[in-house]
Order: sequence, then C-alpha cells, then structure tokens
Amino acid sequence: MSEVANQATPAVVTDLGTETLQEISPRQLAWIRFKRHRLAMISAGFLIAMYLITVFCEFVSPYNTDTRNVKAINAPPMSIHFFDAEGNFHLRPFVYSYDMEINADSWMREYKENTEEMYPIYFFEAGESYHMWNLFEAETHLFATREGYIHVFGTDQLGRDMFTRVFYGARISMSIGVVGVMLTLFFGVLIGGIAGYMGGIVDRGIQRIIEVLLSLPTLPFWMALSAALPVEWSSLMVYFGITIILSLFGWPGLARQVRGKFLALREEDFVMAARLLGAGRLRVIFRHMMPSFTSHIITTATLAVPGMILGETALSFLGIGLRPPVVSWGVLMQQAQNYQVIVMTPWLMIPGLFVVLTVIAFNLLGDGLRDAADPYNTGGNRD
Amino acid sequence: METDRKYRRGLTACLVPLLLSVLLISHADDSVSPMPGSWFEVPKTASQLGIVSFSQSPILDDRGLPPVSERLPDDPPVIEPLNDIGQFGGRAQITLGDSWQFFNWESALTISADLRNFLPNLAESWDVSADGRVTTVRLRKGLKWSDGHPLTSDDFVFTFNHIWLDTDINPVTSMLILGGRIEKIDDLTFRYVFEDPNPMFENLIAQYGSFMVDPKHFFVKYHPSFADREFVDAKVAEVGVPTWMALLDALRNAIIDEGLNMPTLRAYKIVQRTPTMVRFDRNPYYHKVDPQGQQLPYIDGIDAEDILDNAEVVTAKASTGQLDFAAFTLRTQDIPLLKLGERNGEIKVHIWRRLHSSDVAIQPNYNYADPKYRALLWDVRFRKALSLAINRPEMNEIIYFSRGVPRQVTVHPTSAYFEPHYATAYTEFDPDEARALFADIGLKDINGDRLVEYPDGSPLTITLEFLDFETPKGITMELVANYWREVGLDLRLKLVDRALQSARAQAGEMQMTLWHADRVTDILFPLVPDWWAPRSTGWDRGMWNDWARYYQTDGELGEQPPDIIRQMQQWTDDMRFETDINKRITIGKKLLQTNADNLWTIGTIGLAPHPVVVSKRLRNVLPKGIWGWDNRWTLAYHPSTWYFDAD
Amino acid sequence: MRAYVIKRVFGMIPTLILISGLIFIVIQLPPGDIVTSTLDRMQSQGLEVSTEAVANLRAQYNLDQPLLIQYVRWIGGFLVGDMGYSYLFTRPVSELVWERLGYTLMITVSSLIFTWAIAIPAGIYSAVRQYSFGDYLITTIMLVGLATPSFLLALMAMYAGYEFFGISIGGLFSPEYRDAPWSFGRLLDFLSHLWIPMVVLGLGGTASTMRILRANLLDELSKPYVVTARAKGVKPMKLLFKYPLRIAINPFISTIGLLMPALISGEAIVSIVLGLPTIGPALIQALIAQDMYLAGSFLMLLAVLTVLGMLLSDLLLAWADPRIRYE
Repeated sequence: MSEVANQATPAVVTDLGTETLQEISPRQLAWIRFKRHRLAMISAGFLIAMYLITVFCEFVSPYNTDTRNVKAINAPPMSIHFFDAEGNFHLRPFVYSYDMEINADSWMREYKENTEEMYPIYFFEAGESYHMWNLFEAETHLFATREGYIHVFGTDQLGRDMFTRVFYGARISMSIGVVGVMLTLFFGVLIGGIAGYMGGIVDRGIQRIIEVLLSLPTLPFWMALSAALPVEWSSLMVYFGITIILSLFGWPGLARQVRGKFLALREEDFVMAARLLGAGRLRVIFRHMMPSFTSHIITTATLAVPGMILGETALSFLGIGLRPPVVSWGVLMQQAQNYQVIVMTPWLMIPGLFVVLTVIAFNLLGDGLRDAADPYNTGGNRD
Repeated sequence: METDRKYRRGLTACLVPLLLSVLLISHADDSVSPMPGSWFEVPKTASQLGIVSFSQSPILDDRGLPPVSERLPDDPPVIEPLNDIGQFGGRAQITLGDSWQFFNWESALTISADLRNFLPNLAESWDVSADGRVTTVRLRKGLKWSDGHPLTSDDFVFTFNHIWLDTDINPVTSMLILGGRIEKIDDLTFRYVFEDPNPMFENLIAQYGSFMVDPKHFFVKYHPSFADREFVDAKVAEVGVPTWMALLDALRNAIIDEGLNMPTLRAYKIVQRTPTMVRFDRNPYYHKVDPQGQQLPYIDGIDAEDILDNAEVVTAKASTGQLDFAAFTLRTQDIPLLKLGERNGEIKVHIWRRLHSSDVAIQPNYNYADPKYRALLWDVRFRKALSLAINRPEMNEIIYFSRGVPRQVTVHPTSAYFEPHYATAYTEFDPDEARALFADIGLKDINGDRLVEYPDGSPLTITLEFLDFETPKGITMELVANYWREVGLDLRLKLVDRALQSARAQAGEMQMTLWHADRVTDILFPLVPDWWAPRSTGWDRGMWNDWARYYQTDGELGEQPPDIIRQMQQWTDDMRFETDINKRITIGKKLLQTNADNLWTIGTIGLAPHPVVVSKRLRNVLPKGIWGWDNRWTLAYHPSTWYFDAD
Repeated sequence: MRAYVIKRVFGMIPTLILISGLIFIVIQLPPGDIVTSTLDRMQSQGLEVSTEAVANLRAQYNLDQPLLIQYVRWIGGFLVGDMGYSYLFTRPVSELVWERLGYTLMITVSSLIFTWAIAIPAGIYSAVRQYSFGDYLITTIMLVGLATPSFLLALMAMYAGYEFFGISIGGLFSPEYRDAPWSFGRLLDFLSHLWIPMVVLGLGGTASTMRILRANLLDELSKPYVVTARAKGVKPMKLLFKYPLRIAINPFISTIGLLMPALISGEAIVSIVLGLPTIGPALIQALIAQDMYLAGSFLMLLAVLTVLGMLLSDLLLAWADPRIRYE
C-alpha cells in the first residue's frame, strides 16, 4: 500500500539540498540514512553474528546434537560462576556439577548444584569430535569443560544440550528463510516482471492467478503439500521440499508489487527519455528500470524472511514440517508446545526466544533498509 | 473373599525388598490395589444378599417415573464399591475422550478383575457347548432400556441379523462372526451357533459386547428392513445424510436430535449435544444396585467437554483440577506436572499400569517390495542385533522414571500363557554383540560414514513411519534411532497421520512401523493373537499383510508365507477352535515361544505407569489398576460405584 | 461505472473456477481418502474388516468415479447450497459450518478490531514522533507480537490466563455457563474467555498494520498541502485527523477482504492450542482425515467470502476514485 503511495524515482543527488555541497553517490546516501536507524543497525549486527554462528555451529557448540547426557535429563540451565561457594574468585569461569534425584513423590527430577565438584570452562578446548561442514574431522570447541559437562541453556527430555541444539537449529531455520526468500524472489520478479512488461492478456491471466492464490488461506495448502511429500525422501530433500512449499505462497504478493512498479515505471519520464534516445528493450529494463527498484526488492526480501521462519515453526507445530533427527527451531519448539514446558521446563522455550529475536531483527533491518534505500519514503518527500 | 486375601498377600509380598531381576519379571501383583473379592466372582443378586428395599437418587423423585423397584430388574445384581457406600448426587466434569472410561459399556457378559475370566452382567448365566459351537445366553428377568422398554432376546437377534449381517452396513462380514447365526429360544434366552467351533465367542461378548445389542424398538423405525422405505428415504433427505446407514450412525451418535431418544443400557444417557459438549443424565432404568439397595450409579450426570482431541488442553485442565476424571490422553511424561497439581491439593494422581506388553512394538515389514531388504529382515540375526542395540535400562530411566519394565512383545503377566523368558528374550543391552551380528550378516561400513551398507555396497537406510498417539512413541523412537545409529544402522523416522498410517500399513508400503502391544491378556490374546501370526490386517500392523491376506482368502490373494509362518497361522487356528483350556494354553505357549525365539516384533518398555487423575471430591476410584483396551480401561473396576464426597 | 461493475463481477467467475479447481486438486493430493479413515474407525471399534470392504465402501462414497465427475458433483452441489456431507463428523457440512461460523467470526472480527484499536493510535504516534524513544518502544513491542509464533503465544496466554486471572483452560465458557442461555453473566464469562484468542490472534497483525500506517502517514505529512495548512496555522491535531489520516487509512479499508485468509490460518492454530470450537481446527482435522466435502466446502466458502470482499472493496474504490474505472 505504501508502495502505491510513493512513486520511486532514482536518487537524484542534487536534491539532497543546499546544505550538502559535496556530491555523494546514492549508495553513500543510503548508508547515511541507514545509520540513522539505530535499531536497524543493532539488528544487522545481531543477524550477522547469528549467521556467523550458524556457519560455525559445530565449533561454537560444546556437543553434537544427538549427544545424550543421561545424568541430566530435563536439567535447567547451569549458571556460570566466577566465585565458588567459599566466595573465592576464579579468573577461569566454572560450573558446578548437578546432583540429580528423582523425587519419589513428585516424580520430578530435582537438580542441585554440587559445590564439591566444579568444572572449569576452557576455551578452544578439545571435546567431542565432529565432522566440520561434512569435510573434515575436528574436535576443537569454542568452550568446553575437561571433565563433567556444561549445559548453558539446560537440556531437553533426552538429556541433549539445548545450547548446541539451538544453534544447529538456527542453521536450518535461518537458511530456510534465506533460501525460501530467494526462491520467492525468483518467482516473484520473474512472473511479476513478465506481467508488468507484457501487459494485455498475459498480465490479466497472471493477475487472476495471483488473485486466486491471495484469496486462499495458506495453512491448509502448506498442510496438503507437505503431506504429499514422498515418505522416502531424505531429510535434505524434505528440507528443500518444505522450503519450496513455503515460498510457493510468498511469490504472488511480491509479483504484484513488482508488476505495479513496472507499470508505474513504464510511464516515468526517464524511461520515456531512455526509450526516445533509442535504448533497446532489454537495456531499458536492466539499465534503467531494474536499478530503480532493486532497493525495494531487497527490502521486501528482508521483510519476507521472518515469514518463512515462522512458517517453518507453524508446520512443525502441526507435525508436518521437518522431523528429527533434523534439528530446526520448528522441531525444537514442537517439543516445547505444551503446558508442561511452561510450568516445569521453561528453558525448552529458549529456541522460541531466538525465533522472536531473529524475526524482530529481520523486521527492523527491513525497516531500516526501506528508509535508507528510498529517501523519499520516510518523511522527506518534498516533491 | 478368597481372591481378596490373595491380592492382599501379593501386596505384602511386594513390600519385601526384591532383587531387581525378580522385580522385572514379577507377577505384576505389586501394580494392582486390593479389590473387593466380589469383583472376581459372579455378582450376587439382591435376593441372595437379602436386600428387599431399593432406593433411588433424589433427583429422580417427582419425575413421574415408576417406583425404583419396578424399574430395576426382578433381582438386580449387587455391585460392591471399592471402599465405601457412596452417596447420590453431583455432575461430573470430564472430557468426551474420557467418557468411555467414566461409564463403560454394558453387555451380556463382563470381565473379571483378574483379566482372565468372564462374569455375567445383563445375562443371568451363559454356557458354551462342549464342542464350542453353541454359546447360550439367558438374560436376567425384568431388564429395561432407558425408556422403560423391556430388553429381550429380540434386541440381540435384531442386532446380529440386521446390523452385523446387513450387507449395506457391513459390506463384508467381520471375521469374528463369520459362519455364525443367532437363534431365539424364548424372550430371555438365545444362542449363537457357529459352523466351526468358536469356544471363545464369550470373550467377544464380554469385550466387544456393546456392539451386540441395539434397541430394536427404536431402530426398526429407521431400518428399511422394517420401516416404510419412503419414510426412510424422506428422513435421509431431511437430515441431509447420504444413505440410511449414515442415518443410523447419526442417530447412534446423537448428531440429530432424534438420536437423543435412542435408549441405552449404560449408566448414563445422552440428553444434549452442542458443538462444545455432550451432557449425560443418569439412566433411571440402570440395572445395578449397591449393597444397601441404592440404584447405581451414584453420580447424577456428566458434562463431557468435546475439546477436539486436544491432549495438551486436557493435560492442562487435568493438572489444574478442572476435571473430575482424566486419563485417556494423559501420558507418562505428564506425571510430574500432574503431581504438581496434586501438591496444590486440587487433584489426586493415581498411577496405574498400562497392560501394554510394550509401549512400542517395532514391526519390520517382511512383505516389503524390495527383495534385498526383505531378505535382510528375514535374517533372525539382524532382528536380534536390532533388539540388542537398544539400551532399555537407559530408556526406562529417561522416559519412564525407571518405573517401566524392559520387555518384548508377549502376553501380560496375568495371562495363563505367560512365561517370564518370553518377555526378557534379547532385552539385554549388548551393542558389541549387535555389531558382531551385523558383521556376521555381511553388513559393513564401506564408505566410511560409520553407517553400515549392504554386503554389495549399496546404501542401507530404513524408514520407520508411525502415528504418535497414546503411549510415548515419538520420544522412544528418537532414542531407538540413536541407539541403532550407534551400532551403524541408519534409521529415519517419519510421523504420519492416521489415514496415512492406515493406508500405507495395510498396503505393506512401510519399511517399518509400530504401535503399542495391547490385546495381550487372556481376554483377547487367544482370540486375536495378531502380534504373533499374520491372520488379519489392520491399520496398526504393517509387518506381514500379504501373508495375512493369503491366510484370510485361503491363498486367493496375498502371498504364500514361509513354512514357519504357516505353522504360526495353524497354531492360531488350533487355539481358536480348541475347547480344552489346557490344550489351548499349550498351543498358545508354542506360538509365544516361537515368537520369542524369532523376534518378529521388537519391544522396548512395557507395563509402564499411566496417570489417572481424579478430582479431590471423586471417591472409590481404584488407586492402582491395569489400564488398556483389553479391560476397556475401567470395565472390571465398576465406575458406576464412583461418587462425589459432599464435603 | 456500470460497465466497470459488470466487468468486475464477471471477472470473478474465472477466478472462482480456478480456485475451486485448485482446492479440489490440493484436497486430493495427500495419499489416502475417507474410506481408509472409515475403515480405521471400524477397526478401532474392534471390527475386523478385510480388504474387500474397501472397494465396496469406495463405491458407496462415489470415490470409484473419475476425478472430473467427482469434481462436478461437488461443485454442482456447492452452487445450489448443498455443501455435502462430512464423513468425519457424520453430519451435513452446512450444519457444521453454521455451528462454527459464529464463533469463528466473533474471534476473527474482534481480533481485527483489537488490531486496529491498537495499531492505529500506535501508528499515528510513531509517525508523528518519528525516531523518538516512544516510536522505537512501540515498534519493538508490536514486533514481539508479530515475531512470537502464535501457538507459543496462545500457550503462554492460556497459562497466564489461568495462573493470574483464574480463567478456566480451554473453550469459550466456564463450565457453569457452557450451556446456559445467554444472559449478562454468560456474556461477561464469554468476554473473559474471548480476550485470549482475540489478543493472540490480533497481535500478529498489529505490527504490520501499524508499520504500514506509519509509512503512509509519513508520506502524507510531508505533502505540500499539509505544509501549507500548517503554515496557515491549522491546529496540528485537527489537521492530522482532517486529511492525512483519512488518506493513510484508506488502503486498509480496501484490503479487508484480503485479511480473511490470513486470519483463518492464524485462527486455526490458535484455536487448536486453546481448544476452541471454530472452523479452523475442524478444517485441519478434515484435511488430515481426507474428508473431502468438509475440507473442500470450508475452503471454497472462505474463498468466496474473500473474493466477494475484494470485489466490494474494489467497487468502493472505483466509486471513490474515478481513475480506477478506466485502468
């Protein structure tokens, strides 16, 4: 809707006003604008950090995803200490081991810190071996204890380290977002572009299809499609299958926007000028029209990522998304979707916290990008 | 009171510290509370106990009903409550899912609390002829439907001939009544006659018996064999159902208002149905009384909320004391939360034991299309390796708080067919032996991914598809997948919904599937020994459906099974036709022994704790019972004697 | 104008045909059908049914006919108001729809009102005080609502509702009011239960609504007429409400129709968690059990409502803005 309101024009630098005499490129201008949006900056930092962690999650996590610690089933997060029970300061942080007891009356696993047994935390320490990027064996972890165990986010019902699983889950969920959005972009730009540029009967046909897809609730279609995924598929194929399903219902919105832009731009003076000057069709599209809305597309893409991430959790909630042994945020939250977790093991909801943070970050980043990329959009449109 | 003493002795015995190994195979006595001796015997009648006057719930006063003594049968059976004589009144808040447990079915026979024998219920007595072909039932005098209409042999005859044998309603006759007919002798006596010996038809009457009697005087109005066809067609059109069979369904489930008029024999009668709940009121003609002559049930009515199978909401409501009784959808892992509710004083959490021989019965598909995979599964070494690779003690600790029993799929300890070693065969944890067995078969890791391949180097992955419902199946399988992966087998899990489970299991398209192993007590095991031989197909079974089809159709369909399987099928036939109980047990033991040796299904943990939540006002619920389908969950424990404490 | 209306109304027909075809295909897509579910039901009642029963049942449900015939039967019935029969709930679909539609509309409409009641003031504030602390705070709070998966939010609300406000878990009424006739007390009880689904469902939409309003309003506020008016001394509040806000809100009115599908998807999940008797959970159940008539008719009904909503808003826009008629 806002897109209809603002007719995008290429950044004309001189318009920046008399106060800036020095000429700056549109890119620099955008960067200046972006920096003004402080939350977007923070979000960008957070997301970069998260993606870096997901790339190196084998190294960042102290354990492997399937490693069970039978001594710590449903154990709460361990606190990291610098002071021991006697109040002595230790430069090297440490955790206390847990004493576990199943209470015969309450059937609850009760955990108490055993101050007799402390496990110092070492950094860049050898631990469980892992297969880095499926390429080579390694065993160095960012942090680990030499004896005992460390569960910063606690453990789940099988005694698996939540810290490890949250970041392995991030790898799947955050990449589903990006891959899915790329697919959406591909379809959206292609189809929207065709409709917008060709016009006429093609446009009307595509318009109709978009209208159809937009007037249907997505959830039943996600369900039906994921139920139709062949059983024999490996987890990797299911991953791509789910990604494609999620993006299938994302493109119509984008295609409509792209089409709108195309229609509007076709009539713009600068396009007319380019055409009159004898520029070819393709040159007009790629040299003149495309650049004027790439910023818009980037923004839309950024804002579409969280939808994918949330979509994956919704599918998992219904039990038709990814399945163990794949670890994704949706899979992790499926464990946490009951009343018992809220009351008794709230740390199993930590993956939810990461979903929330990531989705917020993407939204704020998208806002920032929009403000930055389109100077006339945010309060400065002087016509 | 003989049995009572026996059970008390059992309880004392379990207080004596026992070695763990003994405990694992012990005769489950410790898991059942002492019960009144009369729950194991033919119920005494009022005249036998000298009860002459009867009383009714005050809510029935001034309703213009005939006096209670006229509504009760001539000589009503007396049911002894668990602890104390109850008081009338109250409405129970439960969910619709638990209504089958809160007021059970009433059939001609019922199940003894020992889960081995049968007792008369609507019947005064019954007998099975020496050749097992004829089962004769004599009804009590003066039994009435909830509308006051007398219950007679005609109702049974109608149900058998016009519901069960009607080819529109049941296009194919159920195997359980194949070759059978019903004969009316007089108004209160009838008999089922079979071409082949069918000595265990009584098991069916007791366990599935609710399907054997419908109110004829109600259904004849809608059944085209009796009613005017035009009237029925008009009714079908008016209600908007596609067929008259669907109309009967709609009536039976009280989906249309006329269904509310359908009489019942159960303790409660449906009076109202809304999208969110079903209300039941007490049946003023219910046939049982307590030792003081008070007409059962004690509780006046039930409000059963229909919460769309949402187990989480049920658990949350149960733990916060919003339900008077909850059990069906509760799971072992909910116990800590429920116990928290108990500490808040809102509820009591009884821990029963599920009768399931194993909460998970892993079923390899021996009829799977890929010959290489079939050959591998058929190798007993492979199945042994799969079983030995499972760390059951750890699984017991992680999922069951160490209160389950590592077990294979075999009969329940209460069974006359039970031998402890059937349950413990290959349940030890021995991953090295499992790896050695793999190597023996020729399975080895060729490409260095720590997972074994077929001897010819082609990849070996197994997909196990399952429906995660009732017992903790999902979490168990996540562990099993880990254990198998640790010995080098790549197991993938896929959750399927009910329709898919049914379609794929019955078509033999699943490489492996699972369900929990119920039908393991003497009530059902000898009648439907489906875990141990291919003799029928079902949505819960996916291991040998082609062989079952071959058996069912005498070789017309399906595929000829190997000799050893033919032998299993033969034994199930022998068991079904055998009239001598001792001979039957001998045959049954052969079947179970061969299965224990061959491990055609793989078990994990059985006899597991099951939470039964009762509100602080509900009384007389058995603290420790056996939970499961064989007993229809509560059938032997007399829920009609539950009552609300007024304080 | 009349030409536009005719063009637009007839334009709906191919859309609806496309939609119905798509729905039909999607419902057929997952393996299994109502016959397998029916067999399960019989088997789980202890009746052993052999494989030959399948063919008979299939014929009974007309499933042995070609897909095209099945499609024509279904859509033909739908056109004359016969939505078919649900084998899952063993009753006519239309009854189920009417029974559940009321609660569904109550929840979705109230959550829509909730969304606007929160988003519009928040959007105005954020636009007027762009980049202020308040702007950031409001944006962030709204985003938390958007970012929390609805089932998690519903669970937490359920817990909080019981723990802190003593609202009974699950359903829309306390036990004592569940079947009572409507009264003031029952209304209050209903409202005390309604707010959980309303807030949970509404929060998701609040952030985006607010954000769009903020952007639109910012555009308007910088237009020359606003500058002029301000220069002429029109009071800021009066100015805001007189023109820019109206224009900024316009796009929402025109997209009400489009909100329906998204609300239903969200409503389904929230209702499953909270155990509410609305259309969503029944639709999900129907899809899982392959109850074709129920799932298909539900979806088709929703699509028709959405398309009608879109038509209505288009017509309104065309009436308000003559340029559109000639597009």
